[in-house]
Amino acid sequence: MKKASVNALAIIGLCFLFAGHLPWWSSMLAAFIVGFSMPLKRSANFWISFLSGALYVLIHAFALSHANDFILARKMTVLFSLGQNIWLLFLISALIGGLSAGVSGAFGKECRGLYSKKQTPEC
Amino acid sequence: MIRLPFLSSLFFTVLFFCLLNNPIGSLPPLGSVLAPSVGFWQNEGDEDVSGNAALDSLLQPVEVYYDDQYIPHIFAKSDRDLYFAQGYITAKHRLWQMEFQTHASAGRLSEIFGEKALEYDRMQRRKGMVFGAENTLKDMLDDPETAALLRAYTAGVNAYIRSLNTAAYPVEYKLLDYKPEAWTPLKTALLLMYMTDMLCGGDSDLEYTNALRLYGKERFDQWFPDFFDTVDPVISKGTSWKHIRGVQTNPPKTSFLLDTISETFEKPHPNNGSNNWAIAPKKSNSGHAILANDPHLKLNLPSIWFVMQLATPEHNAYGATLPGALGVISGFNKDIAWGETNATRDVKDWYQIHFQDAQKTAYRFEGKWVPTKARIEKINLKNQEAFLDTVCYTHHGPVSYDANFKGTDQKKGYAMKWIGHLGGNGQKTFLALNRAKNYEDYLAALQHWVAPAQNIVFASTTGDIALWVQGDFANKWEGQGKFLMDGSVAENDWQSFIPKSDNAFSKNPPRGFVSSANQHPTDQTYPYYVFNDGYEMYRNRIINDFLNANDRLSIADFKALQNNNFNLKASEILPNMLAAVDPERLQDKEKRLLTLLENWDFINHKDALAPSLFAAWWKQLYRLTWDEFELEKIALKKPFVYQSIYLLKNHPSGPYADILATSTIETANDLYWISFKQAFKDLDAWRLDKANRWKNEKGTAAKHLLQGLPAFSHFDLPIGGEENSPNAVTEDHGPSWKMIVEMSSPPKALGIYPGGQSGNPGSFYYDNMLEKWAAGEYYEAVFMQNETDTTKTTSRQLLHPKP
Repeated sequence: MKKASVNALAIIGLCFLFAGHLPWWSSMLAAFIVGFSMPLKRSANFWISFLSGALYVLIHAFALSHANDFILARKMTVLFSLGQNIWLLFLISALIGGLSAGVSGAFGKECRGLYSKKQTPEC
Repeated sequence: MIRLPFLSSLFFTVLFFCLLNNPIGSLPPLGSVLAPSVGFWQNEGDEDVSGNAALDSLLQPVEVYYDDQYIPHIFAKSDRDLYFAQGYITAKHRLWQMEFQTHASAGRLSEIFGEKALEYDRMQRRKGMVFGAENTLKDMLDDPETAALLRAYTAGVNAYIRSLNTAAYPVEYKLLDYKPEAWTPLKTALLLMYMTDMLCGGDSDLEYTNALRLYGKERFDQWFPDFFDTVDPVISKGTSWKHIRGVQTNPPKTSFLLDTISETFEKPHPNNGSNNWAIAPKKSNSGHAILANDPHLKLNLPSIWFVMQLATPEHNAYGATLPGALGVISGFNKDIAWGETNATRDVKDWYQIHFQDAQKTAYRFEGKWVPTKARIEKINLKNQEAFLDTVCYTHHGPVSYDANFKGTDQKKGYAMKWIGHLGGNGQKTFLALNRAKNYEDYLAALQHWVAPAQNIVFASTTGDIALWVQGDFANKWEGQGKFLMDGSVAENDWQSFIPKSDNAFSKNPPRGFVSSANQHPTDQTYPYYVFNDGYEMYRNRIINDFLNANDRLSIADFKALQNNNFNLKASEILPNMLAAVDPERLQDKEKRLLTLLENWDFINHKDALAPSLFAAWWKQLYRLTWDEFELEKIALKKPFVYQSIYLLKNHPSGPYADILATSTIETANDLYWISFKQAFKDLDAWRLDKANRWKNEKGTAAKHLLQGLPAFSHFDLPIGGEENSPNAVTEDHGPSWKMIVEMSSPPKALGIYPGGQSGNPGSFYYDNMLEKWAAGEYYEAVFMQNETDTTKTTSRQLLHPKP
């Protein structure tokens, strides 16, 4: 559990660190790095990466948008035909962020498994 | 051995990456757009207008103050730094718009939108937009001062572009998945061409040629007269032309070509127009001259204008700028104020070209084969191979229509002769106006102006008022340029230009005011040929009647006049229309409609019902009146509204009144009756409630430049007026900048425009002025006298040279 928490915090931290410096896939990279360096049991890397990626998106997007009274978020809901529901927009953004981080986190773990001469013991 | 979990995680990682990294259908790349690190979330908020910015190429520090409308007030130590800062600050707030408009001008939208923009791009290239911009650029660079300031502006824009990372790109780049490119001096020339095309890119020569062929000269002249039965021209009747030394060109002996043209370019919107006027101190309550200007253009978002104050120790100007061009375009400084309306003139003519062969390498001119110049237009398409279009150039200009574009004959084409191709350094006019101190400086500034022809109004703190109808005009023979001309005969060419000193003007006229509203520049006594190319006939009379009727005027009167919604057109035709309707033959609900119209005060108030009824009735009446112009596969233009009303009232039995689809011969009275019945045949649609109020029927909208992208547009703005009232607000056109300046020392000014200072849809300042604009209100201009006059500023940013 502790390692999972560290894993999640590491992903979120890296996402914030990369933000603005790397393209949109920086959250995938963050999850990959953490998945590679801190592999978890079975599918835990996917789920932790998924939750971390989604949480990062929610925190960052909410912070940016809330400070601006959600002006652009409201307009984007019109663009995406979301019935002016900004929470749906947050949800979709979080899902996309979560899924992309999830698969790359799982991929990171599998790469570690592939290239380790001796499989790192899973927690 | 590679394990299945590895393969599946690899597969899904690659799959997600590809799905999110690329557009899917009409959706933008969702990965980049929705990522908070770089996507649209980063555009939530206003641009940073505080702190310091260290910039290459800046020579000395520049102070930029912002007021509560997000209007930047730039104080620089030199012109060079001032225009560098103008470029930098404009790009900060309007980068995407600046670039998009120049892409549109240059015919480069296919690079963004792909094949669906190809027809548009071909049209722009075949109009010679880039050719004209190159000529303009050459003239700008030939002037050392303009060249230096243009390069400074360019450096300023590029300094801002270089400061951006992907996250900071305007949101439109993210949605359309492309990146800003470096600004160049050519882009400024393209922006000026964009305005030139908008304001003087129209003509009807080919449509008129078709009409002449179909209906004969007698009818044509009656339907499209050079002068209407009455004019209230820009330069008032009775003005002496003694100063004019030139003479009108003698007509040649050639006759008109009666060719058939099926399709022509899309024309600039007819509602592009403007009002301006200035009163002398003797007509002013305050004893100071007062000037007003409101250019009527498309109600775009981001707004077409960007308001700035541009100051150095030598000059200090405030007003509306065009993102991409230098200086204030419509504004004032400590000593003078200026503003423009479009001086509609026929400055685009067409010549029929006979090529030697299908290769189009030579064309006939004066009995010889003269080589054409081929310009290969390479149109890059997004994700596709480039499209190559060869446009042949003659001494007239580009052969816009040929077998490859809207034509069929391999050996025939139509060449365009357009003032927009001739270049000129109009940019210098604005640079000079920004620092002008008196009438002489204003006049000197105007000498650089070529196109689009403008009525440039002037007022000064010393009490002078003036207005010049300024631009380069071909000295045409009577009738030249109204129809297609034979391009193989030299005598059909433009023979010379009217000397600028012979252009019509008025300075301190006895009536105490000058004004213009796109009407006829002069009466028939002006010694040069001026062809009626769609002159406005209503706004100008309302404005002049008001200014003539009042001896003393104030800023409040100016506000009322700019917001005047009187429908003079309706007042001149509706009584005739009503008289032709027999109430006894109407159903009860039709009678109710009639009563509403009978009791109308002819004010297009936003909440009134009658304007909606009149508009519906007039639409049917106009369509029925000119049903002979609704022919397929022939390019035609219907007669102007004023002449239509004149004919209906004065020649009610003219052949135009007959409805071709019926076996009987109709008169104007029949048209009034039939059009009434047709307009209101679906009575249930007229609920005479909220839905039919004028503001709702009109549905004024300020639309985003991306084809009115609803998410970034505003619809159903509650505003009155119509195209012919001074407050000329239609569905998508209207006063794009309203300015009133009282020439006290220092001047006091009011201004507003339909939008906001920021180009970012995520900013409060993207559209914050819209509500007040629709309500007819204004903001008081914060005209800082120097950089220490900061009582009304809200933030400060220091631009300084990089150490």
